[in-house]
Amino acid sequence: MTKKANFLKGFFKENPIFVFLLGMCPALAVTASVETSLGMGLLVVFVLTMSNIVVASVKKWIPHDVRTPAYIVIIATFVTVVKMVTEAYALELYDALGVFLPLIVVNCLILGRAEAFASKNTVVDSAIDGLGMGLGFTFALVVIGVFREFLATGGIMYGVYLPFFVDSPITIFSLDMIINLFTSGFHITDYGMKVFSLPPGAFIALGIILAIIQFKKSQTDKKAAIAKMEMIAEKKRIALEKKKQAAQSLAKAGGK
Amino acid sequence: MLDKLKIALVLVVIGALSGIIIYGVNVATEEKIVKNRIEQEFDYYKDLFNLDSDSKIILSEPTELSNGPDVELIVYDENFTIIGYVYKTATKNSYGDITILVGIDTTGKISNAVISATTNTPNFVQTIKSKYIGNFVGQDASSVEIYDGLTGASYTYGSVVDVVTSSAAYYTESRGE
Repeated sequence: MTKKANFLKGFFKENPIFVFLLGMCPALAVTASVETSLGMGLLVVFVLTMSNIVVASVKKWIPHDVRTPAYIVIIATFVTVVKMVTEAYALELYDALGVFLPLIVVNCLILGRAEAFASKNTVVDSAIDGLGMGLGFTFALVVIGVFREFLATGGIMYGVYLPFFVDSPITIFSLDMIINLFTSGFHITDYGMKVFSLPPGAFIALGIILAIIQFKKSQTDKKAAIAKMEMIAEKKRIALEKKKQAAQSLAKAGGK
Repeated sequence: MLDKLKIALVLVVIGALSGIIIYGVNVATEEKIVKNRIEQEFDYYKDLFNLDSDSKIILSEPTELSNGPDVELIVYDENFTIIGYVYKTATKNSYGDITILVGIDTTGKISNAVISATTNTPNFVQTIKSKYIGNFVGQDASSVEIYDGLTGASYTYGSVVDVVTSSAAYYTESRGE
């Protein structure tokens, strides 16, 4: 596998959430808003990449029998580091993620990559795998976050939990902006489907997104199957034609 | 025997290295974390009484309350004159956790209410802050009028209403005339 393919596989082909359904706890719990999804995703990118690098570096020295507890200690170290750094530099995000931040330790995606990839591959490949899988995980969380926040509130906000690049919270997009061109004092949040910001909404949103992905995949598979059948039919036709030509030339030769 | 010793040694080394890393990061961030928490708390109290960010305030020791709000604090200016009373309540609603501070000045009027920590959806919190909390400002603590508006952020608003009314009731009962 090339380094590019190793990096990109986590986004679509082997996306941890949409394909393998790994790490569902944060996918359901912290995706009520785009910002918390993005924040959690970036923290997972750091933990996954660092733990993959360390596991790949020390795999020779870790006895096979105790590899899982050893990996857990490595992952827990990075989670603790991330927890303290987040509390120091992004206090609002730390408060918003709450218990789900330390729970990154038991995210099966991270232990899964350490066990399935980092323990069998080089440090560079493991780092690329960790980065790609982490960013794929972040991408999936943000997709669910956008879906839920937009349907629940009619808009997307930034700057409440992630204090980077803006001084105060900004509305990235809101239907208010469009509707208030024609009227005034309209608040779309009053009419949003608030179930999407509640825990059941996480399951519904994930179900809808997975259904869309499966529908697209089945369409692609169907097209591929049709193309394959057409190719086989064409090959059969060519073979038959060749057979016919051979029989004709044989008949001609016999007639002579 | 040698294998078991090797396993133990590896685990000890991994544990020790983890401990050293965590200790190092803890030393590096501890001061910042404490400073952040204190600054955040003081900013909220200044917000409650519409004070400038440069103004100095002094806080009393928090008094834990058995009924109504969780905690009461008295806020003084630099001359030890009482600016007002702060009531802090941490509660839960269907959107998640929410901590609300209510400030009541010495004349018995609600000076402000602030959502200091929450896991509720940001857009809902923003709507409540911009559209609904303002309705409490300036109201007399002895007769709080609730703005019964239609809001998509009903659980967040419900928590704010509950906390403001219970804080006002406590103030009226214990500190009102």
